Amino acid sequence: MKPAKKQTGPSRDWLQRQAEAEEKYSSMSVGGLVSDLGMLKPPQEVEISAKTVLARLVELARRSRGMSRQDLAQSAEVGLDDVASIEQCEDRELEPRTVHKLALVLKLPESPLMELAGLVHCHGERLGAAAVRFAALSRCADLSKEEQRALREFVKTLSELSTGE
Amino acid sequence: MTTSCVELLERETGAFVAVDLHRELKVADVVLAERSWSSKRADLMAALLKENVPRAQWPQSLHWDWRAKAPDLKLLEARGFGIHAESGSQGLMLTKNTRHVTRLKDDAGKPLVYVDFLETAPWNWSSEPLKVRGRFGRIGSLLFREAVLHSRDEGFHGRVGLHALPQSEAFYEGHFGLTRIGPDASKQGLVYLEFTRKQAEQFLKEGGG
Repeated sequence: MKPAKKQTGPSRDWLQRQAEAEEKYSSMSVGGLVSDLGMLKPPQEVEISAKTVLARLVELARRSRGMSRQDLAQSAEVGLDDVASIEQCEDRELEPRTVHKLALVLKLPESPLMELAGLVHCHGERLGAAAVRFAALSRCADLSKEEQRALREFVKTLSELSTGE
Repeated sequence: MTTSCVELLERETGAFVAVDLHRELKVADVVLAERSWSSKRADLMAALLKENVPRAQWPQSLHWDWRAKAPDLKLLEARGFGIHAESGSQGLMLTKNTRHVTRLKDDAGKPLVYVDFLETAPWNWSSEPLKVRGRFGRIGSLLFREAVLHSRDEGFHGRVGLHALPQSEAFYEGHFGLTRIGPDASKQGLVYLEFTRKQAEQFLKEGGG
């Protein structure tokens, strides 16, 4: 992809015209009619995997500490490829030692982290529900207030789970 | 993920609400958006049935399910865009940037960004028969603008192509001035429209860029 040109926001006047137009036309949908899209059939459920949640959690926790991937790998004494693999949600077996070290550096409770990494199974539905909520609220861009809150709340739930509350 | 801040108009209050525009959505983002949209779709359908609103007046994307399209985001040619407010996802767009070329004579055969799907969250739809007003405005316009900017950044000079649902043809043809190529038999007879390089330049000059 070519480097993006500098983008300036649209003018207030332009935005006002769009708001008025959208009132007038109401529908903006682009795509296909449902009959041809198989959209009436139950869609293939794309699961929010535990590894997706782990990827976001590690990334947000790392960035909230102002660390690069390399900083994290060095502090935790794990491979940079391990950190990258986790954050990119790659389907790769993780060593318990790696998760343990990352939990220590990122100050995250270890046992739910192990569960998200697929190394143990103990917290079940409560962790699942909290993980989906967290995944829904967290993004991978700059850490906004919303993301900070999502991260805080999820880490709180993880801590409660690890202490058996 | 590339993100910037844009302002939506909250129709009820007339207030400008700052939200995030994301340009590299992942599969999980789209799945999660649909999870929150699907219950609203069901509520709307129930209301339309209750009020005996003729099917022809139902929103034509009412039955969509983005989970069926989400895996496309794994394709290199695909790009997902979304507008996200604190209350959730407000609009989604999926574009493709290979395999599609302009069908207009002037630029025939030149690449363009194809808008595969674009939809706003169901609570942003206004419905005349149900007498409801969508919560936020400008979402469709801002997403379409992103398609034009994406095309420009890809070196396609703002050229965009799309198949509009019948209820949306007027928005793209009448408001944005896309050129109507005509019904496309390979796409359920939906009308195919294109934004040419010239139209895109004008669009961006008039404040869209």
